[in-house]
Amino acid sequence: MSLSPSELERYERQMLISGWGVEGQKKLKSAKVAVVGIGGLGCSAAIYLAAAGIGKIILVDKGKFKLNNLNRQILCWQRDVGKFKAEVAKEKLEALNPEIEVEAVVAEITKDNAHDVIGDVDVVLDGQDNWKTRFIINEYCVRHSIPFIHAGVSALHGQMTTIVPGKGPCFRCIFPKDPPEVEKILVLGATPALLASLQVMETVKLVTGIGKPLVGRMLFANGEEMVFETVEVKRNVECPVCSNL
Amino acid sequence: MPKLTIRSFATLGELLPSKNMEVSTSATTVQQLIDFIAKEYNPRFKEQIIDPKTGKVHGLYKIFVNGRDIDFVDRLETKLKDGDNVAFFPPVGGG
Repeated sequence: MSLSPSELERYERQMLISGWGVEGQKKLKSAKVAVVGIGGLGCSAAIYLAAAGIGKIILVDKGKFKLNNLNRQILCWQRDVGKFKAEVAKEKLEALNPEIEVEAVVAEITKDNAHDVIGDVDVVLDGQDNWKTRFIINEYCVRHSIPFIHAGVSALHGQMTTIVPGKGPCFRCIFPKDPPEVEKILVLGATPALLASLQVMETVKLVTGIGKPLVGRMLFANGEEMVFETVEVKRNVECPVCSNL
Repeated sequence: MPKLTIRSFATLGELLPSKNMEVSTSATTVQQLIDFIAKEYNPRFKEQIIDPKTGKVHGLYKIFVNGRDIDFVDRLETKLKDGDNVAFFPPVGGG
């Protein structure tokens, strides 16, 4: 795989980062990343994945944009209200970067269809707004040894962690019980944008091998007080999902 | 007296003088530590974390001792010793 002259120009500023270069950019071009959920997290994450040059991005969401999504789901413009999120997002990302491939999947992830919907990818980004689906995605990712980058937000707060099966705790190790679902989550658009940017950083690091990923650590972002902290999280040797790894 | 580091995140931290504090306490279990915090700093801290109907940790919250979820140790009876780091947080699930 080679980079075209326009790609070399497009990605020039990031390829100058230490340890990146043409080889790092080729790794991104070869990478397949799924964004599961095209909400506040997923929209922002998808934009930066596309801008960074991830070669294939798979966008999964069953829903259509609503007017009250517009404060945070920034791939939706006024004219897109009522359209399928995954399809609108695909159109916008292709306009931003025609040198990558984007696939829209209008579907809800279930235990039965996870393989068909997510497929064989290098990284999965969490764009979910519910815990139940996150646990399904975690099981799929553990089974297929796919890194899963979790984030969750509320108001001006968020948390995230990077799950690399076998190398650190999986989502079920960290959350042995399903946290209660919240019907209507309060959120400022900048909060998922912040966490999504960090998810993309983690993705790029995993693909290129740069830096130290957030494995075995949970990051907490407190936007109210502008405090960022991490706490160590460990594997559960009796985890029903990943203890066999 | 043993010293413990207490870290509390998001809205829980607002109930205490500091989100990251060191306390000297005779508490030797997580339950005793929560009782200590409620008595010394703010009874609402305990009211938020412990479900009064069951006496267990409310499903919304997680407690880690040295990075280990107490659900995998001995829940509220998880033992504490000098130098332990106890973290309380409510995970958020929006996307």
